[in-house]
Amino acid sequence: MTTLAPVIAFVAGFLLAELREGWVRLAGLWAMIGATGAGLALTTSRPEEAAWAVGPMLASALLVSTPSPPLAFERLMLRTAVTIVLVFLGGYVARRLPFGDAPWAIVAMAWVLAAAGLAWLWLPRDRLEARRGAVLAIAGGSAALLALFPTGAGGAALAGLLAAAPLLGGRRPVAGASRAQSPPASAFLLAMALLLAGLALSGGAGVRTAPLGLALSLSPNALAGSSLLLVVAAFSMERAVAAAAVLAGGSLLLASPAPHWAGIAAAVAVLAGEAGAARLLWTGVFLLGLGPALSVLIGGPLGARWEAALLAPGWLLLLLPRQGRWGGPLLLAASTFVVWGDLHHLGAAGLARFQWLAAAGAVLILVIGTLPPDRARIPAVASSVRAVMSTGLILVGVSTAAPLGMLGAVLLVIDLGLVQASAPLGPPAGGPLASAALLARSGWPASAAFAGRVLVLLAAAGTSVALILSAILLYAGLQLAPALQPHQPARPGRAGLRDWLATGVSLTTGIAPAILLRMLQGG
Amino acid sequence: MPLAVQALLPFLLLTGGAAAASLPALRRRGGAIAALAAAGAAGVALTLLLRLAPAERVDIPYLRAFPTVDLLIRVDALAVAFGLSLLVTACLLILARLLSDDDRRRPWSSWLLTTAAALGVIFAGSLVLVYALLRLCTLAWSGALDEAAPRGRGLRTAEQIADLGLLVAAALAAAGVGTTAFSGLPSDALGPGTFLLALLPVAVRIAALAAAAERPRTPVLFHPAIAQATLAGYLMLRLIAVAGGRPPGRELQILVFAAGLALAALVSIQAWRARSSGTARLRLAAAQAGIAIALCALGTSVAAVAGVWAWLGVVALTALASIRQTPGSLGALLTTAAQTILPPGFLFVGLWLGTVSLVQRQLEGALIPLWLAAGLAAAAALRHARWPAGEPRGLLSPAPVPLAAALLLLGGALPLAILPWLVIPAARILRGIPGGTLGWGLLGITAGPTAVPTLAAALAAGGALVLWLRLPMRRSFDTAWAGVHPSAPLLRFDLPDLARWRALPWARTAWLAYAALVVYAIVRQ
Repeated sequence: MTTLAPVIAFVAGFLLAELREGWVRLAGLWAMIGATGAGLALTTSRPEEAAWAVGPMLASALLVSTPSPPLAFERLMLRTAVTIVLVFLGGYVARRLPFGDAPWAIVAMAWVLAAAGLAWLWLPRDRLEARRGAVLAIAGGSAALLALFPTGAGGAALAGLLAAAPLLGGRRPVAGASRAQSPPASAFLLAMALLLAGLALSGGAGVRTAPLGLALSLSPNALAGSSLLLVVAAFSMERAVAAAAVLAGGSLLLASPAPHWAGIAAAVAVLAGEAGAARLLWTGVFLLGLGPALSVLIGGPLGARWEAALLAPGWLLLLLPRQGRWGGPLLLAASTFVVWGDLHHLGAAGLARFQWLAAAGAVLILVIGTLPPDRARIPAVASSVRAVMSTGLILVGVSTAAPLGMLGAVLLVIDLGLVQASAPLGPPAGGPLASAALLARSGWPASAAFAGRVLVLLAAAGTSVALILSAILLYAGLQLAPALQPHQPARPGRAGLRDWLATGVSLTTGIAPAILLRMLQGG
Repeated sequence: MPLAVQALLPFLLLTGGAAAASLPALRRRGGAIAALAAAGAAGVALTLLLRLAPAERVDIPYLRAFPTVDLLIRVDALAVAFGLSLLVTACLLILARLLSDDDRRRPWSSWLLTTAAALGVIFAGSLVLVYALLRLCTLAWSGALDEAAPRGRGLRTAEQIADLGLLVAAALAAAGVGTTAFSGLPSDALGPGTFLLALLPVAVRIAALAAAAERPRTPVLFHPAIAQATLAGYLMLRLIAVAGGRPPGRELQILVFAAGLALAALVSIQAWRARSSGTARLRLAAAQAGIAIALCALGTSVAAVAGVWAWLGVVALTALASIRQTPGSLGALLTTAAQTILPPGFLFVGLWLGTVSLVQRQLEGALIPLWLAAGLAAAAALRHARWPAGEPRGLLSPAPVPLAAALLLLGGALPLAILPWLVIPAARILRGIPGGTLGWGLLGITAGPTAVPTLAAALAAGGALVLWLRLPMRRSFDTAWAGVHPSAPLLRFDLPDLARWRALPWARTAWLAYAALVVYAIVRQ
């Protein structure tokens, strides 16, 4: 009975939001969000969890605009069908599976909120509506996780606030284009990254509780991941990328599932550009969140199976679409650390399941990535054959669940995210740096790419036949990759500071990856 | 001097020499600097060899920067013998190039760096380190920092992919026993399949050696001897040493033996058909490498000596074959004579020891293919032998070649000069050699109850060779052969048309398959 009033308010709000425009729609959205927040507070007996609603309500209010021309009839029907299918799919799964003591009404409201958001995201009327959909999707997803994994007021409020992240990505006309970031801001980000790296090297501080009950994860692994994301942001010199890096890096440091997932979703909201790629990214993000949610909802071995089986495709969908020059590497790095953290929750059977799905995913990446773009049937695949295959190796490296494999994956992320991305037009032609820059960007020994590939293969050999076979396939493909793509001449002009830094990072981590291993393991 | 410092000294000399030779002020004297650096490094390697006790193995760890892989130098007689052979060979090639006026390029830095990288492979103390240094060696000889550079891309890519076999073998060994360091690998660490994978780099380097004959000839080819023959030989012997003295499993021994002989026979036929003696000499070096592989597979103490002897000979003979020589010069004749596997050739000692080994194992039937392959190689060498003609000064140019070839012939005739201090200690790393297994003296060597008078055999065969070359019937034989000289290639492959395969809906199929796999992962108990 306690949830009946919020459910009625939610349904009314849903109808208003779907059927009307402008301020009426905003009222409907507020009703949906308010009802979900009230439900959270009532069923979890934690009134402070209602703080979650503040962020989505504010973001919805800021995104109100004059109505643009309505969708064509077919598209409108398709969108309605997507919403209905998602809603009924959730209901069907809920009826078929042995759900435990979860507050189903709240989960259902959160699910419908997310489903409506996803439908708006996938088939938007305009960019503003896509952003509004992103707000609802993040809000719905984080509300479902809050219902299953209650956290304090701080965690709930933060999870809600992160739903406002799509506001940050609104000024980007196309993927990859972003306003420039000032050099002092980059220097600050770099300094913060160094600080976090130093903390990671000193062993981190484990799980701590911040004011307002916000649980922080200050493990070396999370600190190293955040540090790497901030370095990517500093290198990018782009505001949107910096914002996404701060969101994703911050989410790595959060122990509560709801704000942790919302941070990654927020980073995707800031970076997602092209519609086709955005669909894949959002599907991936939702699968990443759905796994842990279902493991709690269903419980037992079946729940663990769902968690393991959804983690691999979710991550794969985040890795496949091509993003901007810096956005792709940033998401790659963030999702690598997120999945590495999630792997610790899987049991032996779940890990084995994840490993063969990851191995198959690596082969899928190989097949899709080497097809010509017009035949790949993906809106956009990673920028080069080398990037595709390195991504596959990252998938294999992390799925070994061994420190050596993770180290290899991180080295490959450094190669793709810092070294390759920092000089997309090739290495500088002149100056003393030219040879070193060429070496750092290559797969020859002493580069980060070489060390990463070798370590992934070493780690895969100790894991399973599927992983070693896919690693060999990808490594051999990487040797052939230079022959498959056109020779890239050196770019004119002398090397800049970024070239020096990227070269230094690649060669240092390539020669002495043990430093990074200490950072990942703490001390 | 501490061993840890002495072991690093050759590397310091080579890299220092490379740096000095690339300085603008010293560029004109780059060749002399390179020769001095290589000679100095060879001197250090020689003192290292003399300093080692019999069968002594020393591991010198320097640094652990790479997880699970120490920067580790392995000093034993096998490594030092091959290191010495590599450095002497490099010195010879540099000297030959210095005396040649045909080429104005100055490749000294690149050559010294290639030598340093190859030396690194030889002294590396673990399989992963060997792999990394093999890659560095490929980088050094190709100079292709940019991996997409079109120059030499085929061979480079082939080497890179084949070297992956060694890395996979190392990874599997590490998964099994927890280390890839030679000192920590038990003799059963490499199974037959893993051993075959690890042999891929050897196979591709021998193929590259045979293919080097097809490249445009410069006065001196540096890479076939340094980056291909030496590394193939060393890797083969090191893998045999890791596996306890023989390829693991009887079937694999038969396979390696047969593959080596088949390769030798095939390349000998190609050498016979070669239009120029320079091309034939390089092909013959590959044929001899095939016979050396076969000898390594026999797995006895005598065969271990035979294998080391044969591989050291292959390195030296490849170096001689890599130097352009005037047809009909003294150097060309002596090189051809040294390349005949039968007396007075250098490899005859190895062949005879292999024969003894087969008899010891009561495998007399295997003598037929062994001697058939050796006979083919010898016939191919003799086919391209020419009696020297011209002025005496022309006969002796360039000087290092006839001298080195004569020394090799002398070594083949008097094994006493090489066996005790170079070959036997290296062979002891492969397999224990009980006292009395081998004996040597001025007249020849003995293995168990059988003896061969190498000096007498070399003198007699040398006399017979001179007679054959001076006989008038030789010319008519050449003329007759020229009429039926086949020009078509022995093997020809046509790639199938892949357009039909490309048209298949790969992306959709892959997605569907992956989705089905995810569903199966959920449903499967």
